[in-house]
Amino acid sequence: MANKIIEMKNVVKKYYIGTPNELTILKGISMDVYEGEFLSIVGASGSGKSTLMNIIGVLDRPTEGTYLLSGENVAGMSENALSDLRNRRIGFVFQTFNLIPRTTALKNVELPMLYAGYSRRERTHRAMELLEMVGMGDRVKHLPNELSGGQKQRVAIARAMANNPDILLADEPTGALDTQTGRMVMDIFHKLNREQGKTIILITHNPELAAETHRILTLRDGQFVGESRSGDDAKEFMPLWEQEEGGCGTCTY
Amino acid sequence: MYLLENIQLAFAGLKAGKMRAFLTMLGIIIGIGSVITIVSMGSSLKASFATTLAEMGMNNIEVGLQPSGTSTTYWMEDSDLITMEMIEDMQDRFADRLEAVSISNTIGSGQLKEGRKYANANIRGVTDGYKVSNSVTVINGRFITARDVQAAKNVAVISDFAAKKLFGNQNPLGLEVKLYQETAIHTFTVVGVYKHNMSGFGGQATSMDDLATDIYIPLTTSYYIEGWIPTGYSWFYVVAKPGADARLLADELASYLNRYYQNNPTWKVYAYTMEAYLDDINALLSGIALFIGAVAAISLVVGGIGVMNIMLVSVTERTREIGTRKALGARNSAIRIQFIVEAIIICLIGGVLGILLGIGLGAVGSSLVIRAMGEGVLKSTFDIPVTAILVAVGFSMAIGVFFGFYPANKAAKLDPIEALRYE
Ligand SMILES: Nc1ncnc2c1ncn2[C@@H]1O[C@H](COP(=O)(O)OP(=O)(O)O)[C@@H](O)[C@H]1O
Ligand SMILES: [Mg+2]
Repeated sequence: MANKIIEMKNVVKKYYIGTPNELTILKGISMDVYEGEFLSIVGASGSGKSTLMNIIGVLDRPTEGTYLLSGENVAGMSENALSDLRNRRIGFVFQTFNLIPRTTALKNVELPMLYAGYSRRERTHRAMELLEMVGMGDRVKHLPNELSGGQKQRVAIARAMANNPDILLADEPTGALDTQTGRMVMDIFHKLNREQGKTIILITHNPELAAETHRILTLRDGQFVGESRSGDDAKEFMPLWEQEEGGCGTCTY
Repeated sequence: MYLLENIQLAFAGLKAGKMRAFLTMLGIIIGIGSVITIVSMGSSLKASFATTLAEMGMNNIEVGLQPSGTSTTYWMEDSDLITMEMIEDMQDRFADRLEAVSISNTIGSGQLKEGRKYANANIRGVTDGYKVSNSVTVINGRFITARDVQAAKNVAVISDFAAKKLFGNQNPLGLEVKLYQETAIHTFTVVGVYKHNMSGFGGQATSMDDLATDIYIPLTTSYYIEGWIPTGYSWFYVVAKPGADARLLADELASYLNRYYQNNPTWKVYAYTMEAYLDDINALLSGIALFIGAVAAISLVVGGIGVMNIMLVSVTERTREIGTRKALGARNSAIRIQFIVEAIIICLIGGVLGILLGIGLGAVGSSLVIRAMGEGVLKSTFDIPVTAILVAVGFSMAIGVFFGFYPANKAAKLDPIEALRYE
């Protein structure tokens, strides 16, 4: 059985704690993600997908519940330790690309390696490789505002892969792209998952894209209301807690 | 670790908003610029005064009359003047420490003529001591002597420049030269030629040909030319012997001569060494420097606040970028350093521009002051104040750190999620 990368138990996220307008955004989320999985999370806007993703990516801390990332409890970690976790273990891909402006594609990809303390030579070498991999090898010196949306997202994926993270977190990565370029981005994710065994969590609004992944989790109002595996009928959601723990053993990809 | 990247990034950011960057730097530019201006002017002027005074002789003591301060009318009567008897008394009394007494009387300018050749001249009646007090170098013949003065002889010492113009290669000693003034012509026998020091300063507006050099004649002769013989003098120079304490001597001379002025309600004698003048000038310059320094300090603080302000704007504008960097694993310290480096770069560029401005203004300013104080009187010297420049560079960096810290810290402490959600 593959290793558990993510182990979440009864995670609750609240805002405005202790005030009359206290908001509970996540209402007891439990989920496990296994190494090599390509998982998608779907749900209506405002259902708490991004909030969950931020907790998974240790940008945010849960109000209640436990979260183990690669077996480590992140609850007691210092800010610097969390920064280092994000730097080494997590790769973020955003809907709005979030490339650093006035900084070349190459330097953008180098950035996580810079924070990790790699030498200039190592950084440049690896960044070039990654940009080649996403098909941007001929645009390394371009600035973000000289790139199309699809190109930006490819650079962003290369950047997310910079420190060879355990897991890629992509929050609606095709949301700002047309179908064709969105397709290209999805293909890169599939390739990374298939060829490098990269664990990927994808948030998407697009059921077709979700259907391409191994497992679909549906979030509604801060709770998982269903899980389906590829090959299942997408409408037959079963409550998560009734699913046995399982990973890619059942995947057809 | 990220220093080079941060510097590159800061430059890229500044390039994207050149005008804004420049306006931000203005306070720093003005602050550093004024400091460097005043420091370089100060050191240049000091150097100029020092060379000029040293040339005139640090052993020179100016003796003269000044209002005693108890009276409000400063009318000088003939009876108030320092008489020749007093001077001779003084000379006898201090013979062991006095090298020379130099009295001079400038009676305007004229033109020396020899046939159709001419040379412009400033006419100075002098005593023999003038040679010592003004370091005149006689290269042919002799200088004006005490006997020339006593007998009011019609003799003259002319410059090598004038000699060459008037007499060419002929030896001028013993030859006659005519001095044309507006209303009169005087004839002198040339007894000596002195070396005219071409002043390093281009004070002469007209062509080299029209250069006016001094012609020295006996003091008494100059009075006859003026048609007026004074009963005494309001000021003169005394030269202390080498090794004598000029300042002490000055004090003693003043009190010696002041015995004659005990009952004079309006005037008293002062005696001032060139060295004391130099100290006064230095004190004045230091005072000015202090004032400008205060102005500069204010403008640097204002400039620093401007930098802080623009950095706060920059942090706000780049909230999303900060969020992204944090998501990519930047520690708070990395973000803080990034913004501090940016602030330092802004201040440093401002500082360097200020230094260049200051050096330029300092050069112009000191030459203007030197010119205003008398053309050709002061030797122009321009010093680039290296220490001040190094301090200025260090100081602008310090301003960057100081005023950049708060915005940088604000950036470092941003919540990554809020920052990423920022529109
Ligand atoms: N910092 C916050 N303060 C208050 N409410 C928040 C905050 N962040 C998110 N929310 C709320 O949490 C809910 C879920 O947001 P989000 O996770 O972004 O949803 P999704 O990504 O599924 O569209 C939304 O109603 C949103 O307004
Ligand atoms: Mg969202």
